[in-house]
Amino acid sequence: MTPAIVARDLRHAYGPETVLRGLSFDVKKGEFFIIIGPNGSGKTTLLKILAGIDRSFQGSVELLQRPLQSYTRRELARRLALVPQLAAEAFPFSVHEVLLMGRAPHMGLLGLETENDRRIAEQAMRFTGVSHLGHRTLDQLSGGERQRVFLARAVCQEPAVILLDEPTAALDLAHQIRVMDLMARLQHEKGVTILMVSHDINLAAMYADRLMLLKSGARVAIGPPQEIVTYQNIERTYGCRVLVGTNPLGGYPQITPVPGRFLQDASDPAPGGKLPDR
Amino acid sequence: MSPRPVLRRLALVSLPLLLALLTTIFLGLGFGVTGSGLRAIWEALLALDVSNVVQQTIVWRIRLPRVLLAAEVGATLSLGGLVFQALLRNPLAEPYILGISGGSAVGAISGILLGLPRFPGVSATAFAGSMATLALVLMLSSGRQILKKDTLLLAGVMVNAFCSAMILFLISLTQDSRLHNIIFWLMGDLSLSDMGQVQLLALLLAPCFILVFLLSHAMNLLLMGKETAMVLGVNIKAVTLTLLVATSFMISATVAQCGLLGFVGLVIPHLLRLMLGPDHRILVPACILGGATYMVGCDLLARIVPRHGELPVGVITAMIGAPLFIFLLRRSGK
Repeated sequence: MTPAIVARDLRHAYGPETVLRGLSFDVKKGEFFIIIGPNGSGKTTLLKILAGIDRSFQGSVELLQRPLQSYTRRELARRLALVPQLAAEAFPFSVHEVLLMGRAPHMGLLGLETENDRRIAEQAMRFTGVSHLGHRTLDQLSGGERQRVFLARAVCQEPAVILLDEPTAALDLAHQIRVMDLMARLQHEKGVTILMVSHDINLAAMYADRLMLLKSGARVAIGPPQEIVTYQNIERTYGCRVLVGTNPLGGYPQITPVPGRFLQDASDPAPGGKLPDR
Repeated sequence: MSPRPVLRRLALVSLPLLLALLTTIFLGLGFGVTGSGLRAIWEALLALDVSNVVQQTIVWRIRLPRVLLAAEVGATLSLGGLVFQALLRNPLAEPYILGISGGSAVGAISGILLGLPRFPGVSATAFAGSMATLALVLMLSSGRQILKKDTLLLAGVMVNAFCSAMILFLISLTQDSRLHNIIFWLMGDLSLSDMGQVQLLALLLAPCFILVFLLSHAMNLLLMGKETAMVLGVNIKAVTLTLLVATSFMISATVAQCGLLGFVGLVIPHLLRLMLGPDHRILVPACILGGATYMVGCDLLARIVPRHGELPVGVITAMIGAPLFIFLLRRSGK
């Protein structure tokens, strides 16, 4: 299968601090690819590089068989969408207006929409289940609703690749599943390539075709969830103990973190010391 | 294709505002210290009474340039405030926030102290002062990561603070009648204008207005966040720089003409945003028309309210604008 993204020897540093150290990986067309790693492992930086936001990296990225740098912003916006982390700040644009913004890369300078743009926006609203919110404004929505609106905006771009930065982080259980299901449907029905950064290993294992474990800007492991989610890999990546079991639904691997009081050995990575007396 | 909702809204908003502006201009021409009344203005406009040369002169040579200048200044300051509020994503942003006021004031005061004539001498030094501060602020804030909004804001505040000190220093050295000129410039003054200056200003402003309108959809996208705008295809570096330079240029041009007129640029964009929503494709024309209407109206009041002489127009803009804004803010919060 042809690759959607080919990253080779990616290096990136913020001043003296190295964030990515020679990272290479491929993402296939139509694949659901999830990147997992602890805070500070370089996940968000990687996403910004792939989205064309951060261009101060070394190495090479090819998107759909073309070097990433060869795209203009507009060309890139027609092929690739980003669903950012949920921001607290929200301007009172209506949901309908926000979705039409997703059509911006297909419209003229003033963003005057055509019948076709409106049709695509309405389809995207139905697909993500936000049709009833059309006239509400962003600041009136809950976190879960807003996240679905941003998903719908990404769908409006009609991209070949969608990048998501921890899309389920601030959501309740029902909304988490809903967002993941929507992405899986986009993958299966439209053949969209999904690349997601996530903290939720169990959720990732149930949806991803392949996982990549990232630690300190380097790859720990890459492959199907059954091969990647092992207690050795998780301990190497996160430095904490987990039990790995099997999810009764579909046999996906499932982890259970181990609280400190169940750990016997002295090499416990948690910090020691006594709490002050009250 | 069915009519686009944005264009329909644009027409629905712009036409009443245009009507309001024309009415206010008409009133502005009709009323003043001498020869007031709607009849007089009709007669002057239609040249019914050709023998009444005095009236003709008052309306055409004195009031018309002043009213048109007020319209230009009000439009520019409101639009400038709107752009800076969007670019800096800061509700307190106003046209003078990047140091334009301080820089142009130092320039103007220097010109006055050198004994230059009001036009073109003092206008030129004021304009040079504001352009110099813009260059300085851009230089200060464009380090590794170009045009970070908080750096831009802080650089502007610092430049303004330094200029304020310079202004006080220059004023403390001045004792003769030039002091009066300085104070008038700092309070803003629409009275010293002729049609030539009004036309020159219009020539300078029109391209800036058009440029800002063309970038109004990009401003909408910018409000969704810098990264989102980039991913939606906006070349934010080019858009930000263009808006910044065009806006600073047009504000400097008006400041050079009539000094510092505060508050309009802060309150009109907020007022219109509260009433019309955040879409800049609507707000840009609305700020131009609404700001012009507001300034012409305030100038009219400043001319006719006192029995003798006139009030500084800046007094009126804030006295009416602040309570109006608080009223709308409270209503929108409910």
